[in-house]
Amino acid sequence: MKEIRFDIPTPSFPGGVIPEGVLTPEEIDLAVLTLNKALELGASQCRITASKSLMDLVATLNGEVDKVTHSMDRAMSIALFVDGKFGSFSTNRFLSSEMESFLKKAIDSVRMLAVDPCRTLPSPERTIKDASSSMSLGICDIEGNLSMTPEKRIETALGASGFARWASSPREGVTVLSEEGEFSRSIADILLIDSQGTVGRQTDTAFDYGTEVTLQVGEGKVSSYSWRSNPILSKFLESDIASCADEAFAKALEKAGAVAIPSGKYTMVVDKDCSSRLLSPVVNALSGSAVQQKNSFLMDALGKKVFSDKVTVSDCPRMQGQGGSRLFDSEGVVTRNETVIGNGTVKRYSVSTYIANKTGMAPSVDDVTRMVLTPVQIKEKPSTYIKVTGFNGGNCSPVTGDFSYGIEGFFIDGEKSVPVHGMLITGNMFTLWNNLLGAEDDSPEKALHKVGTLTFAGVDFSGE
Amino acid sequence: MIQPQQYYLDTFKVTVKDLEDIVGHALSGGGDWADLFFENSSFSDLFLRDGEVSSGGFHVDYGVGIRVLSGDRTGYAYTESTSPKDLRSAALAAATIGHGSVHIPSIASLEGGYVPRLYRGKPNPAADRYPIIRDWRNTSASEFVPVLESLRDKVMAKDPRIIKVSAILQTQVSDIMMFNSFSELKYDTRPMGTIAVSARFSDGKTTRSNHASRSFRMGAEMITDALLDELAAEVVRGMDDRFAAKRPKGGKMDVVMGSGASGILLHEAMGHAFEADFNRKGQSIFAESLGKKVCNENISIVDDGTIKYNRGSLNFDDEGVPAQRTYMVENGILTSFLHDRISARHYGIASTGNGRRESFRYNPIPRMRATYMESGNAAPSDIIASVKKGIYVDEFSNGQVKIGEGDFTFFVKSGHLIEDGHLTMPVSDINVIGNGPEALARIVAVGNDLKIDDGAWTCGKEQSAPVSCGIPTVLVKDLTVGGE
Repeated sequence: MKEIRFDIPTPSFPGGVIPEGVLTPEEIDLAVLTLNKALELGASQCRITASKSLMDLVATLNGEVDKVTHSMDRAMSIALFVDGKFGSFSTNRFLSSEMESFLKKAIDSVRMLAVDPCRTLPSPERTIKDASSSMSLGICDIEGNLSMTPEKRIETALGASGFARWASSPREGVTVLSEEGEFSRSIADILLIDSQGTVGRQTDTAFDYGTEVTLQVGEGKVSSYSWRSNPILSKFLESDIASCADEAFAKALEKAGAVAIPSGKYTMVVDKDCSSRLLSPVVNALSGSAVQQKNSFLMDALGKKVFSDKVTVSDCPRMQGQGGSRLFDSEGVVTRNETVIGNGTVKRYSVSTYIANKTGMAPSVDDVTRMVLTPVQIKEKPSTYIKVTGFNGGNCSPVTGDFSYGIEGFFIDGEKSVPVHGMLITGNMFTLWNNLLGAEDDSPEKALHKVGTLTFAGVDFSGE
Repeated sequence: MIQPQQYYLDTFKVTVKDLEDIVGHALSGGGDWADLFFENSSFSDLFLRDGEVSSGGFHVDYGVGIRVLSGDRTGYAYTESTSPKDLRSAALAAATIGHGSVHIPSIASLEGGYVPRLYRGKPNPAADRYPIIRDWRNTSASEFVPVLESLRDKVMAKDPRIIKVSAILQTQVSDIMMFNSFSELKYDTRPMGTIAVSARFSDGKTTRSNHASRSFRMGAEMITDALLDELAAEVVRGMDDRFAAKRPKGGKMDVVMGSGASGILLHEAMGHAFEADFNRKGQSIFAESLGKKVCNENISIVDDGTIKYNRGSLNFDDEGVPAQRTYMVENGILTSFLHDRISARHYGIASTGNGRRESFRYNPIPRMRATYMESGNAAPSDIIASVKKGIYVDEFSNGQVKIGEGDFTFFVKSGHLIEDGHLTMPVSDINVIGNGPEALARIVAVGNDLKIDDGAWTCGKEQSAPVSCGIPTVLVKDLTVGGE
């Protein structure tokens, strides 16, 4: 059997030195060797995904270092197609001496399963070739990553704390019970190759800071959080992480004295920091797998208008400079920016090769990468409404779209603002999204999904 | 299962002297405690989909977590290799928490060692809570393909409205070895088997779904015909009601929680708030309630790591402390938080054996095991009969709590309205919300029918951990129920 060779794209590294958290040439060689060995041992097709990541985290409690962690992970995931059968395997033991026996056992195991002719690799014309996303997507900052020495990481985490400042000028009636902060820098490297010549590599970095503040205000405890994230260090530092603590403090303080107000139908405004939560069940229902398993409330909805004209949702996997962007999906299929719901009409399901083969639907990608809701100007801003600033538990039935979520936020009546908690919203996704009044163009830069502040008419709230 | 000590040393290719050397490196930065957590886990899964068992696989995860404590502060690193070089490198990374470049405040206020008593002695196989008869690692996928097919047939035969059945068998066996700076060496082999089935039903107009699972710390001997019959019966149970279910009118009302899975109330509303890390940081709504009356004196709430074969049970927690049965609330008094070694030292007491972690990649934190309320005296039928207007709930999918405020929610998959003491209209897919201390104080009746739920419950506090829960039938006054 002829050995398959790959031209593996390699990002450029400062000084030519491969940083910790990036696959080494030896690890890449092992991935290629594993693929060839699997074919030699009887697999008809094979896909290897080798991944490696590094994260260094500094956690603070009340302005002092509480935890320092250093995490480095590797995994070799192996998809095997043998005699018309399929299995998936993984190991974090990158030892060439153990790989052959691992593969033999895996192939024997696949042979015990039922034949499934729908299990195949994607057709080669759909998959990525010789691509590296490290530079082309603007989500990799190796220099920034390396510049964050242990001392700088601690300095960054401690510098963002507001605890000492609050202690030196305490507010009457307010006690800071705790301030927890976390700074992390991370790097992740993924190499995907398959026996049809697919080669994709994604190397990206991330810098994150988040803080959670718990206050005692009178008899009650309130808490809130704030965070920043960016793949590029300079942009992360520009995002003013030092203001996170004060933001969380202010948000917590606003909640003091929250009550449940009477049940009823209210106009609902959902804050940009949590609005994507309401779009997620819709996007999940567009999963080809859920549709094929009859586990989706958007079954048979392709090409049909099921939501308001105001609802246009796109999958935008290739946004520049945005963490989470990707050039290829988990099968190595090339991603592209596409509309999935256009003016209320379902335009695309997320259809993997397996689901496409099963159903006859056109294949697309395995999943939505980044939901982007097109902003829609509201005709008339409401004066009386409940502004939801956070969710507390709840669920949505994938089959019916019936949902019920705990919420917190504010009852707004003109100039009056009353914090609310201990309330629930209940309804159905079709009704909710048909009652969309407006979507603001204010989605946070730091968030993966781009969904702004949303306004819905006539939502059932349960409270007192 | 507890095997001879040498089995674990061989598995991880180290000697006791190596362990001492690594701990020495871990403490070289000035830390005052170090521990090592070795793990070799083998996972397997097998899926039935569209009528056939056509996919599956296995997975290996191997590594060592090294923790260094300096006062309450943690340095943590791990390696996926047990070579001396990699172990030393990880130990030195964790050691930075005690290094001069890290600002460590005075720990003079912290008295004594990390625990007032040590856990010496070798693990005792006679006290094993999950002896394995058939190790999953020595089985092959071929013998479980017919099991899932049989489960499919049993389910399909029960309801003509079924349009899809899917099922999964997941297994895990983990060899664990722990060593710390007290020279305590503990080891354990932890099995876990989970079998679950989902079904979609259609009456021609609407579609409904249901799910049932069982999970035990057992080997392959857990798979029996009786277990499959139990799962098949559960996944089709109450489907007539599911099709007829409506949303109730929302608002505050009395909630009767059926025995078993309703234990999610304890897990979310109380259990998390009793975990001592939240209390050590002053965040929990119960932080100042220790020793105080928090509910009716007929109520006792337990977190138990000792139930044989239970999903939440352990021989030792992930810090090498023997698992135990811990009363959190005894006769209405809050008697104990759930401790790991850090919080136990902070409070100057012994750990309750609740230090748990998802894997070697995580440092341990206080986590629940099997959390339940002991039985009371009331007959469940009398509890329902005592309610003029409310709901009865008995199946759940998920829950959540906000620790600071104590607000909790849980999602109800199925239940009924209660009108004048009788179960009437079926309800489904509603969230229930309340406040932990208030809800605990409003439990006014406790049934005599405690049941531990053996479903595949997983708690997601920072890390995943297998748990279980249980409760007798209870009546909680004035919870807010979602509705239209």
